[in-house]
Amino acid sequence: MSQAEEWQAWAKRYDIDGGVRTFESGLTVKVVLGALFIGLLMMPGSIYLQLVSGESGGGAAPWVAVILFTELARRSFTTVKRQELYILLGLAGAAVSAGGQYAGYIWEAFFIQTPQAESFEIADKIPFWVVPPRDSIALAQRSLLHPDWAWPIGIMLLNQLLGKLRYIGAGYFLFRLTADLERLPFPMAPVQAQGATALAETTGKTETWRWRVFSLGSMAGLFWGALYIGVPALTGVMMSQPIQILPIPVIDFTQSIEGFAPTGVFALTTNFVGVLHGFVMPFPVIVSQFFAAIFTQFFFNPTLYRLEILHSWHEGLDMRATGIANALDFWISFGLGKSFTFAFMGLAVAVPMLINHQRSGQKAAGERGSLQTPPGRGDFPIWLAISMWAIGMGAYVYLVHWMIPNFPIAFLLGFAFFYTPLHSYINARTFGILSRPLFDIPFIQQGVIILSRYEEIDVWFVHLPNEDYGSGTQHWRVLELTGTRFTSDIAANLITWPVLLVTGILVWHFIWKLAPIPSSQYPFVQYHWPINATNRCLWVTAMRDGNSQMLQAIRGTYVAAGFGMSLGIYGILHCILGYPSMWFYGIVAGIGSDPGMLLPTFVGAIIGRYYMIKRFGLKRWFMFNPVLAAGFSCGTGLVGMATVAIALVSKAVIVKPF
Amino acid sequence: MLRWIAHTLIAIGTVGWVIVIFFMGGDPNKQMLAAGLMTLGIVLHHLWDEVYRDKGA
Repeated sequence: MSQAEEWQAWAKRYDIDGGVRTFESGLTVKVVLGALFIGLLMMPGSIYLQLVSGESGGGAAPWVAVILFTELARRSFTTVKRQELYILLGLAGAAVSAGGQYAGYIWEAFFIQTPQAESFEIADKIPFWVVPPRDSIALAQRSLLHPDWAWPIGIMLLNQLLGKLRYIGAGYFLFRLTADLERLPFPMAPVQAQGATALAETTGKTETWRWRVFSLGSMAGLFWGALYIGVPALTGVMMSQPIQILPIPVIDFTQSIEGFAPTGVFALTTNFVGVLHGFVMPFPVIVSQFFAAIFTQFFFNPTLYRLEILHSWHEGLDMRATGIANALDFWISFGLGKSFTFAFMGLAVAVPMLINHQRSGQKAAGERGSLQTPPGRGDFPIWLAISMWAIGMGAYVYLVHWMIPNFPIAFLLGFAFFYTPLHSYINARTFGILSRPLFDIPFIQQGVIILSRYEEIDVWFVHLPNEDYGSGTQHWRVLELTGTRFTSDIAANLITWPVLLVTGILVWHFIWKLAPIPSSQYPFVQYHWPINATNRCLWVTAMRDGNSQMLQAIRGTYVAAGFGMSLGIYGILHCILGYPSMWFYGIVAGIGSDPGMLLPTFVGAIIGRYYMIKRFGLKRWFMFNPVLAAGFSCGTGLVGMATVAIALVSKAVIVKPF
Repeated sequence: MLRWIAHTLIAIGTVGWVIVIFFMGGDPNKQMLAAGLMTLGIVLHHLWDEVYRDKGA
């Protein structure tokens, strides 16, 4: 079995519906209003959840929107088209996550005031187009509605406008190349299409199994959400320190294992939603990943410690400090080499596939090789798509050049017009065949900055024109499968965009006013943001003085070791012994990971494999579990949103002392 | 034949890499030489897998 056949065999387990070839608009006034209403209602809760637990609940919100929509339709004795539901899913998701576009500003406002930024002497060098200066009244008052934010937010708006041109133009062009011209199958696209189809069915006369499975998942999610999110959120209203039945986000056992596994990290995540992921994910990946992580932390790390390769660690360090020490000593370098293998695998698999598809395409002339479009799909000319991308990208390069005028423009042009198209095309094809991106060069932006010998820190605060449109190609295929006219999807997004921009900033402003971020009210960011700030300082100062900790951390021997070891495992395991490549991906992903983070997923995989499949049968279980997972995230999101709403309202009330 | 060449290159590269790690202090240049052999072997394996597998090459 070839690798493409192996992956597609897995994908087919989820593929139970065929496509349709009649197209209708999914854009109606009721859909836009419904999506905005639900989305904006949930956006504050989503932001709050993200800060408290690291889970946005964004996955639940679109489902809630669709369920409410279908219930309204049923009670009105009318039906809903699947096109409407798919547009509604997309719009509600966009509305809930619209706050995310401002999250970066809160992070930058925190970062510029951190002791880390101060001690690394970068706080006063952060450009004005990133965040207002430290002494700005906007930061002191925790206000986003202040003129000092005009430059950062103005640049974000311009970038979003250019980004829409780039992503629509390039995404559509790649879809035409891969889906129309090459007729690649996009095997996982029917799964997404099925969600809208399943719920559209409920407005009909018969109710299907999907509704029962979804409800079961929702009830489990409600219970878990009450325990994990509800209790801390509600007690946080009444007490200075919220009660956490389970510590968020981890229970750290690192100091408990240091006696027999020095430098080993073991922190058990308390977010057991991973069990549901274990149900859905392929079994070999989860199992091999988990055992590779155990091997790393309990055998490999202690061995490296005895060889004095891990030399910075000392007794008494917790998970975070141990992780940073190990990363600087070894794992950053080794991880780089390991990740380069993934990039190489993408090319090694994609190029022979391209050759193979070209050959079989010659045999099947008539179907493949044609750029004819089905009537009513809402297509637009390819030259227009290419022009949109070229204008959007050209203007973006100009904008970045204006922001960092001394950075060599050749690198910007190389990213924009060579790396991005190559990266996107390969990923569009691998999505078309395997439904996953395979081509990614990790740390490429950091690597290019170091290679350019550019020493100013402003370059670390700008997003270089390094983009991937290939992963979004599948969306166009899902539109096609649900019979949704392309132009209706584009129009729906453009109509809601200005509304979401305004509401996003208002909601973030309000939440920031409630309490400092991070603070004890927001345990997830309080735990993670200080570590992120330290890591960022290490990268930002990588070129300064030529002896930064980050540069010293990257050692050729360990990079080569990571690369060589991963290649060897792949070559022996998959190429010579013929094991499915999933075992390789699991092993390499698991090496260096913390097994405590993977334990819930592993438990889910074991339950799924050894109980659920026997109980329900393989085919039914693979039909059930995506719907079950969607129901669970919906239930968790619902209880999260409800408790967060109570917390927000109570904090908004000012108690007078008289 | 192509498959045999691919697997031989992978095997030689892997053994070479292990020798470099354990007996030559992990010299990065020698490691990359071994990785180059493995890389070539893997590319040839996928070429055989996708294009020539059905033809028995």
